[in-house]
Amino acid sequence: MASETELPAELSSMFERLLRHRDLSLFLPFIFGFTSTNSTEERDPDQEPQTTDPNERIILINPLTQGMVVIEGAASLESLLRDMGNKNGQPPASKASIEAMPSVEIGEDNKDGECAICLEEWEPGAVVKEMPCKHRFHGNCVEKWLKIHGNCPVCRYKMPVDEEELGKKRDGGDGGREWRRAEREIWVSFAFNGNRRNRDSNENPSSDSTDFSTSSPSADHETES
Amino acid sequence: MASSNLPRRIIKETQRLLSEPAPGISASPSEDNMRYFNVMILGPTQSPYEGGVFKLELFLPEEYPMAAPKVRFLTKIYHPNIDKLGRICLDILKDKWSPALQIRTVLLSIQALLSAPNPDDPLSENIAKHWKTNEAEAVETAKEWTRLYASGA
Repeated sequence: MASETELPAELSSMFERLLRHRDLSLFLPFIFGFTSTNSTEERDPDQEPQTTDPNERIILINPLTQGMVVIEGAASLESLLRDMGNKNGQPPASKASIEAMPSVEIGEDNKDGECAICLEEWEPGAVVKEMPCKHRFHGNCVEKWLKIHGNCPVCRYKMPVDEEELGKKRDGGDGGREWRRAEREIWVSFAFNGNRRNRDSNENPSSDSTDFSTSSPSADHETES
Repeated sequence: MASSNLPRRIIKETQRLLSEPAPGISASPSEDNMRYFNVMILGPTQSPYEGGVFKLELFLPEEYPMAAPKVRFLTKIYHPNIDKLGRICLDILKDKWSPALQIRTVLLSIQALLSAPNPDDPLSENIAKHWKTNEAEAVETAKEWTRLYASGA
């Protein structure tokens, strides 16, 4: 049954994308609500999560973002949650700590080795970034990573975390803008036998996209503030 | 071998994997998709998987190396941290991923997981239970499955 094996992978990649582009934490209470009823009913704890009735369906609704997801095959939710819980890892490093990393020049004495991220060997004269733990990477390489997870790729030294961003969600910068846009849109996704269709329910039919990361604000809503 | 849009890191890793393979591990990219690798891991000696040849698939997502590779056992295996779809419970494939890890280190970690099953962090609840209540019997089952499904024939 190919469709059964493909489903979890598809779902987890879908949620990975969600995690990256939106604030999925708002979904969590609802998802957990569904799973708890699910597990008390008919789930045998010894049973593998993928023996799923193909007609089982779960609808997740988030009134805050007006988002809705329909997931076919409820039993795969367990593995989905496990993936999501584990995906978090270390939060991004603060902007200030990323900017504070000193630039050092690769000289004759320290030219051995390579950037552990892109695997390119150091070239004498190249200017690279040095983390507080003294591990060195190309600026582009390490900044890309620290914006996702704020730890050293080599020794896992933890970089400072932006407290404001953690507590209050991102406001300000383009992050805040994206957040506000996300509040207005309504997005619906269907998963049927591995064939996912995905619609933005707004007035703009051209925004028909298969990518969850694409958000299109609905034109008719009043602006806030 | 279309590799025009393939990041240099992936090309480098692939070359190193092919020129200096890790003992007991082989990984070769698919001809039509250089991000998809066919992997074989030999069951470690002194483990219930000894003598087995385990096939896996490994896929490098678009975000790699900022995101972990996706790895799955294709050969059926009786192991508390591997479920019946072949999915692997291993921290470096999830929250402990680091871009300094590579295909080689991931596969070595999976090989190590075969030597050291961890029933306290299970992916297959019933196999883990079996492992904890009667390890000798669970190991026998693992050996039996190795003979049945991973004989390499």
